[in-house]
Amino acid sequence: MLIRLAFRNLFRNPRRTATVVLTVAMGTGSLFIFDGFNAGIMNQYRENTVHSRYGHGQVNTNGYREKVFEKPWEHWMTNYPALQERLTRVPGVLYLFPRVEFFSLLTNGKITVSGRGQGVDGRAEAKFFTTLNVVDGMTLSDQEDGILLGLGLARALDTRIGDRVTVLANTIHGTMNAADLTVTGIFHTGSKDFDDVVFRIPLKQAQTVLDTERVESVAFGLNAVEDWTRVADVVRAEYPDLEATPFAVLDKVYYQNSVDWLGQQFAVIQLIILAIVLLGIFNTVSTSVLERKQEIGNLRANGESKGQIVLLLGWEGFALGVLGAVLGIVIAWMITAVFLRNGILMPPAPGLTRQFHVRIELQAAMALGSFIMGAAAAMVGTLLASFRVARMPIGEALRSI
Amino acid sequence: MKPNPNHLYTIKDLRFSYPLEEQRVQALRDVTLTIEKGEFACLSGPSGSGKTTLLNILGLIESVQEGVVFFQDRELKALSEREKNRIRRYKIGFVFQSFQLFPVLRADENVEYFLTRQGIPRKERLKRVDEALDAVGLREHRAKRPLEMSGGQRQRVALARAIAKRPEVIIADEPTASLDQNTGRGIMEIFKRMNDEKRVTVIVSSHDPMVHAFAPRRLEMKDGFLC
Ligand SMILES: Nc1ncnc2c1ncn2[C@@H]1O[C@H](COP(=O)(O)OP(=O)(O)OP(=O)(O)O)[C@@H](O)[C@H]1O
Ligand SMILES: [Mg+2]
Repeated sequence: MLIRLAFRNLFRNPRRTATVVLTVAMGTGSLFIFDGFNAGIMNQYRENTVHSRYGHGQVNTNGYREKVFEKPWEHWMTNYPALQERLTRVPGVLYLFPRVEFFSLLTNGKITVSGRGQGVDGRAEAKFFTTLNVVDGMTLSDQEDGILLGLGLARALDTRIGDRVTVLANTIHGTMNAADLTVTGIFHTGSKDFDDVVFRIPLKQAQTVLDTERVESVAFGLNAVEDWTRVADVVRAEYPDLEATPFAVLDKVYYQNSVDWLGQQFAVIQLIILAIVLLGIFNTVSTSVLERKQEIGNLRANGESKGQIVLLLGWEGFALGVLGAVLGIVIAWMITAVFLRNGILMPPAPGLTRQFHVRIELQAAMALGSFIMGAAAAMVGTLLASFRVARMPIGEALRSI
Repeated sequence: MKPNPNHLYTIKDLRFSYPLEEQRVQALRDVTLTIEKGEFACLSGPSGSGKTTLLNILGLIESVQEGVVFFQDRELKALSEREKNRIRRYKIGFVFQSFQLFPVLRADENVEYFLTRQGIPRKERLKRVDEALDAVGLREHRAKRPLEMSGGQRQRVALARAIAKRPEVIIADEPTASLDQNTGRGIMEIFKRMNDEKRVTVIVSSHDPMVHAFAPRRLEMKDGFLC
């Protein structure tokens, strides 16, 4: 009977009921879309990060990343083919990217500059590192004597696609060695520190110049981010002198910090949306409840306790909240499906130079989360409003107009 | 002080004041009074003489400030909120000048509501609803909502709602004041009949001589005193 009265009360002022329901719907819908947008950004950002430099993670010898060595190659990994054979068999592993890094001089015959060389498996990397921004020519792939230059380096050397460049470096035995290479492309990541010094050449070339078979690190291209744990498990179990590090740690400065920072920002905005919904509902419900002071006085005069009054109004709030939240989620879903199908065009993310589309990724868990938050906000708003009238002296409630 | 078991209310030296800005307005001054079971009493007196205040104290709407009020053998001042709620729920029926019906419930649902809250089983509830609606002559209007009824009909629903509770006392503050003379008379006739036939204790207040004529006992108030 209490529930029936609560339910019927929803229809006594359809306009106001609609207002409250729409307020809840707006809030819930915004939370839902916002959550989806957030997930879209995070995913996009993660994909960008994974496909730009680090892959899903990397393997190197224990402690190698933390220390600086006079002769780093002494700590590089030996017998890469065996390692490759084993790690390729881990489910989810699509690509392995063996790499070496070395300091060198680059010269075009007239000008000589210093740079940081990366020896990479061009063909494999070309397939996976799709977000590397090549501004001229093309990325390194099959060319045995190709070299891909950072934009800053290319400008310093005043080279064009097809020009010859000589790489000069010390072998691991300390003698000078050189390789003549052809510029295949120029890349631009937007990070000046990187673009000004880094160049890429085929791993074989690098190993020849350095006179070693060793590999400094192996990066991974996986089927999905979640597959990383399996790689890490295998490395931990079978290669005690190697360590596996996920991309989020490798790119801590850009990725993890950005994610944390964005996450915090999203949390704050979410809180603001919630607060607005709460306030809106509190307001509307307050006025409607205060107009019913006499009725509440009459209920109290006939023996309803304060708690039962709160319960009665709470049921009304519950119904309004559930109705509004469901409506909000349906509307949000429809808006996303119809108007935001292609996502939202975003300016370049930190560390990237291109605009990108963020797809709104709506997930069932988010729908549930937004639903709970929207409905709860309606409940809390109603309860706050009802405590005030429930506490009123009965006589005063009955006397009010 | 021990109250007489035949008395529904035993009131001694009751004083009551309302806070008004910095001061207090004295609404009741030294009211001493007993009301017996089955009585039909009418409070009369000019506006502001304290009728509503007294009825509200008898109905446990306002609490006792000074003096003693027994409801049957229980002193009101000593009751917990829980005990007061029990008395309100089971022993007191109200009829207000402004009806106070639930606008969203039909006439019969309005009557049934407090019976549900008394925990009466459905079958018994429906029987009592029928009886109460018959008693006020509204059986054929049972499915109407308050807004679809006239003032007199609404007050009869309110009366049926109070009767159906089978309370010890029905307290009615100016039950006819929003009605015309004839309609008001109809309401008073029902009060009278309930008092005659069912021995329900009735306490009403009114300015109207027509109402006074129905009540065997007349309590005249002036400036918070009982004359
Ligand atoms: N809520 C209140 N705050 C302050 N003073 C009040 C309040 N209610 C009543 N009073 C005062 O208490 C006194 C008694 O009021 P009460 O309402 O009991 O009179 P009444 O006999 O019912 O009058 P009426 O015939 O107009 O209904 C009056 O002086 C009135 O002004
Ligand atoms: Mg009055």
